[in-house]
Amino acid sequence: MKLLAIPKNTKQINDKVDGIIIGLKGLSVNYQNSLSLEEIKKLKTTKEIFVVINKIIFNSDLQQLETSLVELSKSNIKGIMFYDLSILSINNRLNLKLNLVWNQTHMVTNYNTCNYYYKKGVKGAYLANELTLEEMIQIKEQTLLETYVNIISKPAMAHSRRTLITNYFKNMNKEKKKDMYEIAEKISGHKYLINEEKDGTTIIYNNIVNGIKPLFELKKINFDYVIIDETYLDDELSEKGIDLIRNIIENKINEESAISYAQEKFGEDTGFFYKKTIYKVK
Amino acid sequence: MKKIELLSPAGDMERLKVTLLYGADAVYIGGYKYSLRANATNFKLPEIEEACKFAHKLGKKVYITVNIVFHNDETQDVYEYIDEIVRAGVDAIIVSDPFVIDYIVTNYKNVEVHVSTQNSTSNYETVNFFKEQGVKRVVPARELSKKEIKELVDRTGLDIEVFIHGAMCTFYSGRCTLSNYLTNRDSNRGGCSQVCRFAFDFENEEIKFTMATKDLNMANYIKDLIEIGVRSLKVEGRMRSLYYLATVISSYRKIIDAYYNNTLTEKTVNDENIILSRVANRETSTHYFDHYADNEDQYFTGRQEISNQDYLGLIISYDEQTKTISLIERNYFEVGDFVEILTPSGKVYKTQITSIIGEDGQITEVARHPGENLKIPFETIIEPYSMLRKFY
Repeated sequence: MKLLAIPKNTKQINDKVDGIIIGLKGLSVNYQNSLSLEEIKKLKTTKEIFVVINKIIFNSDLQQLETSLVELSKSNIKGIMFYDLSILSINNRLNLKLNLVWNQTHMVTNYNTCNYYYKKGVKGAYLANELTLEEMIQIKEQTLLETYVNIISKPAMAHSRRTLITNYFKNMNKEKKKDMYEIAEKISGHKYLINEEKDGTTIIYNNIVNGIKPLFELKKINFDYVIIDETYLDDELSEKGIDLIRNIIENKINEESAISYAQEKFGEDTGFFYKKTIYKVK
Repeated sequence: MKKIELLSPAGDMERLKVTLLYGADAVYIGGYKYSLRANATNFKLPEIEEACKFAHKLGKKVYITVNIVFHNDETQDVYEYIDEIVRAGVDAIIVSDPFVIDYIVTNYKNVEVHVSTQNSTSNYETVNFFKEQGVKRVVPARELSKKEIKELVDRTGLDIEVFIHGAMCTFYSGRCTLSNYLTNRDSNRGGCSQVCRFAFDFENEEIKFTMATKDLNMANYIKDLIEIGVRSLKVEGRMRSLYYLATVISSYRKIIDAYYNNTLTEKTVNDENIILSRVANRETSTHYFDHYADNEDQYFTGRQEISNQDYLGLIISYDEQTKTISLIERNYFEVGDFVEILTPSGKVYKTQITSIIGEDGQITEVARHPGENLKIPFETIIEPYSMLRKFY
């Protein structure tokens, strides 16, 4: 099992991670640490580097996308985590032989589709945060794709092409003063982050989802990659999270102590790991 | 030039029949499993068979949605389900999960696969990817401009289907799980609880933060959509009322037919827009088709959704001997009111209510009990499924 981080910056990569996930400028959304092609090529690290391309791709993006994929295929990155199927299509059409990880955020939800993409040449699947642990285990057991999952993160909940913050202020004849705000739902009292960038607006869950307990189960089945998303964590928490996951991978901490420590540091919200969603209410 | 298709939603058998009678060329329905409107009535297998027979007799088509984003459990018997609905006679299956595409294309040459807007397909490279997989039609993301849609048509040769009327999502389809996190209902499996219509506190601002969008209305751009080569025009709303669907389909039918008859004028569109606005319960916009959507395309706190009482009754029969219409009342009306009768053929009759006969056979001055069977005198034979509505 390997540990990846989505770092806030790439200047000082934590030595305890096996690799990092970064965005590509102009083709990634909700990745604070997005680099240009040149910056990616110049990265000096022995760690595995995964590049996320998760923007919704429009016709006008295709040329830039194709050029970027060709360039990345010549670099020493480990893989590309892709949302739009145009990336798979270009990779196959140009025989780029990129190591592709299917990363359609909320739609990576079953092993049949994993196996479909495996047949199309995809190598990995970055599982949806909305799956239960049981579903993740089933997928790992039923697919040949390498599997990736967030263990500590504040996950993205929704993404729009609309400039929702700008529009809100415009409606009040005001201008937005920053790109990220906090919104709150009155009944539950839950708070969420809303982040607007050039390519749209993302709403982010403002609780830390703590997957340390499920991590022990995933480790038993040789799950391939686990991820800590540092984007919305403070530096101290990020470091503690990386230390903890590394210690778990290397059997340096027992389950009970690790879970107790994680609850103290990251809270007790386990997201959907142990909670099934419903869809028929009648 | 092949005439563009008008595609209507149908939440149940009655709505299916009505929309086909009012001019839809095809309908899309949800079956009893795997549909993104899990809480709609949806069709059981014998109803799917009946729907297909009814549509095919009219030379029309039935498409069925199998467009949830599958979790492991639901994949267990999906192939069996597809076998059943194909045997029932559906013409196309609307899907989002690609492993389903693979199964249909491999096993059924006579059933088309349409890729749902759930996939938010937004570029021609991806459309061509689906084409290579054997897909016949793509319903692209609803965030595309006219130019972008035209490029999809020109650079793929695949059938492109475009939404023209109804509610819109704030977020990219497939890329919203607000419902999962706030209400534990899975939006990508048909449980969307429309959290985008909630109001949120926004830091120190007094005005609530909302993100809901206005509805879509493309009546002004039907000509453009035909001329850029779009194959099908889709109306949203499997859970909408019979009256709403009949009215919307009837209006778009008139605009489309007028285009092909070379009789389409600004007045035709304006007249139909007036009719469409009468069944709308929200303001409308064209969103991304002709501009980059902004605050004018959203629905902020303070704009109220309108309850519509335009629809007075569903006409169920006509008695030629007594020259009376039988109808089921939907909203209050009274003797002296001016009304219109909208018929499936598109013809509209204007008249005044001169008398109302209640269920007990007694003459009454007012109709005040929705659901009651009433009779009103009328000289002309009127088809069943015609609708009585207010005349302004």
